[in-house]
Amino acid sequence: MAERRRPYLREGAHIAANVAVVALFLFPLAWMIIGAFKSQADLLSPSPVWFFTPTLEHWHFILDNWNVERHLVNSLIVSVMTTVLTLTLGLPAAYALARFPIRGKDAITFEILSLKMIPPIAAVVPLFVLSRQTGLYNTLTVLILLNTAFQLPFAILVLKSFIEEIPREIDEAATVDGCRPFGVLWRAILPLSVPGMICCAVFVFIFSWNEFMIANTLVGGDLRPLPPIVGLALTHRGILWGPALALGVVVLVPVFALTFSLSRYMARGLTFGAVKG
Amino acid sequence: MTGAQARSGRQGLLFFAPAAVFLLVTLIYPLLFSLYASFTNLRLTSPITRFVGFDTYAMVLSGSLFRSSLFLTVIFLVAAIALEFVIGFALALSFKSMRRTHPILRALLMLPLMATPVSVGLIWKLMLNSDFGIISYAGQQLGLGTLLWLADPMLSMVSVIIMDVWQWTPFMFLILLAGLEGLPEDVFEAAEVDGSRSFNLLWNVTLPLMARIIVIALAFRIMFAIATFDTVFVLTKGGPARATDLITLLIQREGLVNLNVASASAMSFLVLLLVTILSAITFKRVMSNG
Repeated sequence: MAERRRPYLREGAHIAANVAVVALFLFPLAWMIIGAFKSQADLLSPSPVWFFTPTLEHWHFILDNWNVERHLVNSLIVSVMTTVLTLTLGLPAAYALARFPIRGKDAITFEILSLKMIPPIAAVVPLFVLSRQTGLYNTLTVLILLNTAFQLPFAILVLKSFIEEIPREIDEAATVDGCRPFGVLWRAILPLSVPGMICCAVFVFIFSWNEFMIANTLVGGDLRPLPPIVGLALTHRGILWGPALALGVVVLVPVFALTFSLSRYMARGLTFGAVKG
Repeated sequence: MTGAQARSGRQGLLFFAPAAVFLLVTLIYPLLFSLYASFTNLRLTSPITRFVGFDTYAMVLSGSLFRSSLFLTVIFLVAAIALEFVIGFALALSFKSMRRTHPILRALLMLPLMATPVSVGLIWKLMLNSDFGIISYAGQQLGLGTLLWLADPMLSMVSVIIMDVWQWTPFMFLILLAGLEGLPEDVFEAAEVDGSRSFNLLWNVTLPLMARIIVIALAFRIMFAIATFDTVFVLTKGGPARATDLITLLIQREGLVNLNVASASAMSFLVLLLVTILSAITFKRVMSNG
């Protein structure tokens, strides 16, 4: 009996250690969520307050003063439209790279990857100048177009890696049935790419939802999505901690809901399909 | 190429064209505009723009701002990524050796990675606050005195690195775990029969088999880390006294606050050059035989 119990004990300790590490990583998030319900005095107490009466004052503040629902809608419009546009452009492109004998295909794939590697800040300064010249400055359209531009290289590479795993016999069967290349894409590849599309959609949605730099630079006032609004809490006279945390939590809710419910689709997306997850 | 293949290739290009045109207009054209601007003296505050050749580059390279930001960025990259790799790999090995892992643990570890960067900056700004932050409090309890995490130049860089390690270790963990799970089991069984100690097993079997995935993970991480902006912008805004003024923060200030488009563009292209060299070294090989 003793011989059998020992591995169980060790396994138990091992699991406990791993759970503890995960808890350590989650603590900052939990601390923020708790903080959003603390009174100003509890938040600014020099020793951490663990037990307190929850208050909704910061939530009322951000609803009354910062028009949160309006910026939330902006964020939703930008992220949903970006996701739709990215997949619409990305799927045919990925299909082309995965299935057709295009000359210089490896070079094209590498160029697409290089585009993703460009730090967005390098593009933001010229985009600031050009969007003013084209009249797109301060519109939601410019955010949708640019988020799509930033996410499209990622989407093409991930979708390509998924399409490459669909057996070519499927294409051939569809061709024999009289489908032309567009029909093959629509009737055979599209339905079989659903896991890849979900993977892509989750990442594209979250990345454009999280995007701060272009949103903070190219739109202002009522058109801003949520992340730049957090900047309102960082005033010159100090930080409005309560509202800042409440807003920080609002931004995180859809991200966490998506990550949590769709995490099994997401592993592949982390490396553009370079590592099969 | 046969005629049929060439025709098929042309059909393929039709599917590729919309995405290509879109990227050309929205991303490549602005970058070309920026390249042009870097050879002028374009400032949004001055009406006259003229061509100045390499003068802007010479000015940027001879000034201390760019060089010190580059130096800070390199310190940040090396320290943060080394820590992320070591912790992430250790965690991945630990998770792999458990008999079963509840998928929920992985999903939970993914949260710091997906969390909105602006919120991440806020969280750490709160926790590292020297008056009421929980980390400062813990430091006092441990007898370290009051550490000025965000006001001391040295410690503020440490703070930025800690935040990045928290945010990105899960990335290393998830990729390396996926890699470990893809390794053939029989190699490990054979090594165990040979009586390899666990350290030797790690060094002689696991690491060589993982080489490709490790290169991919590090390369991606380096590229993303160079682009780090939002979190640091919220946490320190580059301060105190430029102690955490990463290259991206410098470019943002130069281009969007000082409106000196020429020098911001020149700095961007110097960074792009660096990124291109790095990615040419790593990705071309790794991705093409993937």
